[in-house]
Amino acid sequence: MAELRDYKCPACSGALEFDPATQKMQCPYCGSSFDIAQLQDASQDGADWQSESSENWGDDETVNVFHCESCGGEIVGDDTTAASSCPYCGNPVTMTGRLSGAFRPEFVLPFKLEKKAAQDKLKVYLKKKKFAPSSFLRENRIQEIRGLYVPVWLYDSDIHADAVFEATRKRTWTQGDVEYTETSYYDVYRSGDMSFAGIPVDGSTKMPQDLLESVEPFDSAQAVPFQTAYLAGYLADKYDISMEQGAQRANERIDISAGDALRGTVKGFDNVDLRSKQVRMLRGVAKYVLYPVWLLNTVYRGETYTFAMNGQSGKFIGNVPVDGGKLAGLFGAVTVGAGAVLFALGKLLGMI
Amino acid sequence: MKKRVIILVTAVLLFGVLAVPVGAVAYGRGTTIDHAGAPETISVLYNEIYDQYGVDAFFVTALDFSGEGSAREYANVCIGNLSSEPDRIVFVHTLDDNYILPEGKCKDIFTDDVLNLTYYACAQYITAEDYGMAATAFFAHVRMNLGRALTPEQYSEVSVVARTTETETETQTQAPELVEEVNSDSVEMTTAQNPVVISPAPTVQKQSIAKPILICLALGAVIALITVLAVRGSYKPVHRKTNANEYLIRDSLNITNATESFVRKETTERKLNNDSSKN
Repeated sequence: MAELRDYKCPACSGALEFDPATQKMQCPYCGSSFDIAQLQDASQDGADWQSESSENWGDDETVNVFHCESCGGEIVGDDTTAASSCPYCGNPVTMTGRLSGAFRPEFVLPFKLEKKAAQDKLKVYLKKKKFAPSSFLRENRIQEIRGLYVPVWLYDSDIHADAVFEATRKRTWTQGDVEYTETSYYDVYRSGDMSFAGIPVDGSTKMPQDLLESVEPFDSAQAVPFQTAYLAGYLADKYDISMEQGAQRANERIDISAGDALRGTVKGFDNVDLRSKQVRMLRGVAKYVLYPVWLLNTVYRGETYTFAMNGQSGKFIGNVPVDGGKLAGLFGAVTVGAGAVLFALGKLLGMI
Repeated sequence: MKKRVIILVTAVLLFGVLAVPVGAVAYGRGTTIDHAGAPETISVLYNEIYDQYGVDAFFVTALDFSGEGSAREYANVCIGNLSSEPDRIVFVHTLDDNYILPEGKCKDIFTDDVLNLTYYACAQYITAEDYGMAATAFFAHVRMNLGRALTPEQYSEVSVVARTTETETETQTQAPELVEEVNSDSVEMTTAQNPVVISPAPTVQKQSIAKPILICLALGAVIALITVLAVRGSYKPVHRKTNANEYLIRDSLNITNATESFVRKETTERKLNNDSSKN
């Protein structure tokens, strides 16, 4: 059973939003700001809203409809929507029932950067993409940026790893007019323990894993105990990828890093190749956390392009379509230019 | 669209500016090589000399030897890598002197007297600084003497352009005076005292430039392809991380076993190139 919670300004009853700059709840109507801890106590008497209905829109898609406390408008969310806003009045709401029990995050990494920062980053990012289609660059999509708290599993792990490397050492000397190269081959064994902390794995199927990993790293040390107030004004999802499913991805990354770490201890050789490796987990702990990401989805010629900005560090990334005509122009220009330079060099060096 | 056109036009102009002037100094057989600022003239007659008699003929104008010790050295620098023919004759005109350098079978044909006459055929045009006509006269005279020496019976059939014929007539009538004039002008008529190694040359000038241009364009296309692929790749920066290196706790690595065991040894030999043997 889902419940809706919005945060009202004690001064004017306006809908409060989380302000990344001050890390407080801000009233956009009267300008008042409140500490989140204070607000939690004051808002206990806020009305709880229940999911009114569940309707099936398709075979696999479940839709939940909530009524906005402010205007009575319908707020539609799917099974994983945990925070949203009213499409009619903009009132930010949190489905607290979606964030309770096993779905209650332990920590939340609050947004540090505001929407304006994301807008500016997008402008700068696209400005550098000279070979993107002009129509794509011209269209103004920056208003569509939205802040999303992505459910993330953070894995801490202590492991033991064994690895075998083939290493070579070379020695070269000259005798008369013959150069000799002696290559010595060694089997190198390394075993060791190591610890990883805070490896993030996307807990939502809605958020592409590669996109989240592309805006890493997040500083999980700045995470704070979860409070729904941090979600006010943002979208949020609950996880739909289990801890066990996410662990597979974490283990993939740990496996490679363990090999890299052991390889780093093999010194004094000219070449080191990994031949075999075994990684065993000694201890593993997972935490459920919400990570802040600014997202922009846009469709261009039937293909969806998603941009993401780390809401903490500001790292911005996203695939951009490429204009075939502009690339063809680049190809022609480089062909002729490089050809001319090569020709001139050939003449100067007497090769032509 | 406008931008693309500008890019393409710029690229073509760049290629023209860089490649064409450089290509213009690639000389073919029978070329008049001009290093003195005089207009360059190329006549079909030049190629006929080679086609008929297997002799390379060059007419070179220059301000000086550009640091080379002699006319022969300078000629070798100018055309040395263009002609592999042992049989050639080169006219080198500088601001100070004129030189005619016969090589191979030309040494036998162009005796001092013939060289004097050949020079005289060109002298009036050189004095008038009409190097195009001087070259034409030189080549006509070369052709005439080669024809006379190599195929005497056909000499009368060799057709010479009218202008050359006039020059030749003047040459015949004024020859004695010209020898004196040549001597008074200290014109050095050099015979081939030192054999010169001449590197192979392309047969036709257009082919010699077109082929390298095509090769350079092909290489340029490869570079362009790599550039385009790199640009395209940079537009798709979203990718999964391969490792978790940044989440490895610093100093947490504790090596519990570290052994290295020798397996085998291989020795390879490579014979070094002896640079002195090349020289």
